[in-house]
Amino acid sequence: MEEGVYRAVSGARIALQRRQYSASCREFSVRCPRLQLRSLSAVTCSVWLAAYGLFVLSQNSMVLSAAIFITLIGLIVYLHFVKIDQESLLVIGSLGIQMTSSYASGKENTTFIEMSQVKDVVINEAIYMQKVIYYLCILLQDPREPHGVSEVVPLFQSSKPRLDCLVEVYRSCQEILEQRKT
Amino acid sequence: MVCAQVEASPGKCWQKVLYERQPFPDNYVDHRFLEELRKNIYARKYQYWAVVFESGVVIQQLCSVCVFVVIWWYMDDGLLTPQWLFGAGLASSLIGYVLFDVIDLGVGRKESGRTRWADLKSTQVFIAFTYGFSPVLKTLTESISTDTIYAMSVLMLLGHLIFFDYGANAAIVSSTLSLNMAIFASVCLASRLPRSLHTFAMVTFAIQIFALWPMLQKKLKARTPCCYVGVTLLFALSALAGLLTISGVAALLFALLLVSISCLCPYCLIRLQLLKDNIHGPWDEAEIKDDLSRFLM
Amino acid sequence: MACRRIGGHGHTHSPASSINYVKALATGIRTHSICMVSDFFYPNMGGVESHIYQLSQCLIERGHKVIIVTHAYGNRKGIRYLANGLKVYYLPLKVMYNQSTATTLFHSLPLLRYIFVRERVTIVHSHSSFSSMAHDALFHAKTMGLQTVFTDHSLFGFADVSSVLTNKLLTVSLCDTNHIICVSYTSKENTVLRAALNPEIVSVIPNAVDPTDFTPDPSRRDDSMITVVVVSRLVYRKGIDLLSGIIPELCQKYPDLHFLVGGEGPKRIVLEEVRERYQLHDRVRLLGALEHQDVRNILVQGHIFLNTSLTEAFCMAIVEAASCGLQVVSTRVGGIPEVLPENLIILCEPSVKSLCDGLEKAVAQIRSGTLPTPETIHNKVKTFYTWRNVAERTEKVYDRVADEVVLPMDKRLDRLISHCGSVTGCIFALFAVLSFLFLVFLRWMTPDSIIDVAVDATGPSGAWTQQYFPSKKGSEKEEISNC
Repeated sequence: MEEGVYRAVSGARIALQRRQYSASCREFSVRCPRLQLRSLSAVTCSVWLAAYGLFVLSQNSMVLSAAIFITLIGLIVYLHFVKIDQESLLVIGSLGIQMTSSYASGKENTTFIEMSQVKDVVINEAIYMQKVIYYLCILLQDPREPHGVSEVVPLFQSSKPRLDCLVEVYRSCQEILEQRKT
Repeated sequence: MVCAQVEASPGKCWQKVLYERQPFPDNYVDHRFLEELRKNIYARKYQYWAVVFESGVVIQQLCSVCVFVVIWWYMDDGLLTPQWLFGAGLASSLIGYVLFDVIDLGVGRKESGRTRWADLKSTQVFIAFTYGFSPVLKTLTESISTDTIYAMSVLMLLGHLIFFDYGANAAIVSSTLSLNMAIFASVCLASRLPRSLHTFAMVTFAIQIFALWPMLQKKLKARTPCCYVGVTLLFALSALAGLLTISGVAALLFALLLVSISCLCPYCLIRLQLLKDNIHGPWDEAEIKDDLSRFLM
Repeated sequence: MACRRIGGHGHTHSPASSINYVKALATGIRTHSICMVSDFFYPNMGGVESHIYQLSQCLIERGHKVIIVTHAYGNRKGIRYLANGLKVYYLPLKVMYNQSTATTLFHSLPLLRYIFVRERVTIVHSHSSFSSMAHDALFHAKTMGLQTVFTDHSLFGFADVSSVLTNKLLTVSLCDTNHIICVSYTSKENTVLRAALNPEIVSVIPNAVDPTDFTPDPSRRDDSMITVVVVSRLVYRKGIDLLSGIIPELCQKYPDLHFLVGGEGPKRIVLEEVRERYQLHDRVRLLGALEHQDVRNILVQGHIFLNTSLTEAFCMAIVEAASCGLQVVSTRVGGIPEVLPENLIILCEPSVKSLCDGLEKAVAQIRSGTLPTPETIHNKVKTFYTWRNVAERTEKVYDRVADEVVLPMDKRLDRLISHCGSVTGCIFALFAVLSFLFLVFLRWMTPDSIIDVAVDATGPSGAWTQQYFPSKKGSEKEEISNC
């Protein structure tokens, strides 16, 4: 198992773990920074301060209780549906590619793509918000057309690693895909 | 001809052509640069008094609006009876009608081919209709508050002045819209008068001053400029006098307005002409001068 | 378009500037990293579009790195590659009017700055004064301290309110631009006057046509009659109203004269009316919109090419027609008299009478057989304008510009205020300061160091020429371009 520290497009530190189970079976997982206590408390404080300001203006204590509920529910929703702690990619040369994203709450989302469907793994460029980024994606084979691409599945969508990290993953994937061919 | 020469090829002249590779750098500036530039070729020279004369149209129209408002004021205050206004209007219309033909010795009438009988008929129809509808016009705006009526009248009269055909060739000019706005204003104001006979007299007067009077003016201006200047002055003075009986301050302001339009504005125009810097050259979009409509007749 | 692949070569991670340095050592010429910016690019068709494309291709051939930035056209957004690794950014910006984006001077800064940084752009080259994106890019490039070049493709008058306003904006935009390129001498005079420039920083580099695309083929034309070809957009500025007068006039006089009109536009109805009125259905053919590759096939069917434009900076159409061996009859407007030598063109005043006289002269020449053969005309014209020559001359401009200094902020503000009038100058100086502050903020949010350097596709050592995985190529869509 190797571990390297890279940066995401946003500048945050991310860790890339590579596990080599066999020549044709590798797993890559990108771990995002955990939720910082600092940012959590900053958001909570700002929401509560705003609520207190409203309370001073309106003299209605409902505002304060609403603020507490909003922070609690917001935190649960954020941890359960938004914040992804780890994204991993398991490539098994003979079987297929499995993508797992684990949320901060522990929820896991897994997608599996059969090897026969995979046409290629490539690095592509896209305009994302006010940035132009590189991303890794899987090209799915069009069942009707041997050379066509039916769909593009982007990888590491939440962590968005930078190019150097993507190149590492890309090369390993290509090695396995090459083995499949021969 | 003086040639700009470079050391690379003495004796070679710069040409304003693109198809030849010339031994000059791409950013070379020849002494012939901008030689085809022309300035102010379409600029007109204005004579001060000619511009003052032309400003008469604006003066006339301002005075028409002023006279109209003054008359309405008199009617509203009961200083003027509708019979008197109608009689005076009718008399002056007749004089104007005769003048209209006398000025050009009946040439215009012959060209238009309109008979006197047709004129009489349309006058009768108009008077009859206005008389018949005056009770309706009187009660038409009863449900609308007086303030709204005044505001609307002011807006409409301003619109009339803006869209009036002063002889400029501009997109904004629309004599129909202008006349309609004036008539609308007159109906609005007339409906605030005490009786329906007042309304009738007022609307008739509006037609005379906004529709018939400018036509006569145009002809006067074209045929007898001296008369036109006299009439304009007289008209302006009578409007001022009328306004003076209502409000001294208003009369003063109006007099200032008239003076600035007829004397100050022409002066400014001529001064600003000196600053005109209109550039023409081969880059201008060519104008099509032919009359192409004949090909599609 | 091909999918981008990142290979195992180490140099992909080193900054582009050092690659350029290596390239420069190898080839002996200075190479630049150029970003062409314009609202107008393929799939839109026109003179500016093909100019940008052809110039970029020739510059790539000469070893420079070129990228193109334009706005998204419908579904075509994100990043695309054209031949020879020419990278095109279709930015998701809103189109306001006539394929030109809205300008706020600020909203495009984050994306353009990101692109300039990741592509290590050294020279920003904007095209067309009608393109607000081009002006925005110039403004941002100056804020970022990059060298700027601007190419003006059009002529503009001075008379009406709209031209007064646009000329003022052009003055602001060009007052601190390093170099300006115009397509003809008339266009240079026009631009120098409009933007109050020093003529020394304005170069004249004409447009070009690809002579191999426009070869004559006398067998395609019918010599039993005389065919006049018109290929242009059917709009007022192209003088279609004049054409509607010429057609009946000449058709009555010459029974063997035919007209072939290619192009589409609002004035088509005028031509249709004329055709209806004079019963000329068999002699006037309206072909409608033409694809670029069809133009040559239409041109070779004619004997005479007629251009009735009312204004034109550099008329590509007459060069294309002359290259196909046609006798050209044109109005004497704008830069047209500079384009072809007198023996290849008959110049007329923009009136029906003068143009008819010109056409009659051409007809007489054809009948008497005094015209040179299409082959000789073609051989002559093909030496006049080539894209290689244009690229060479443009390269000289880049070399010159690269040695110049970009005005620092304080000098730039001085220049704006002193050069553009006190009111406009102060307003835009304020904008320049705001945009600089915005840039500082953006640099703090995403420092240059965390922006990935884009892999260079063009040039001799670029990813395109090296073909890391030659077996796999395919097209794809960018899926997450979700702005």
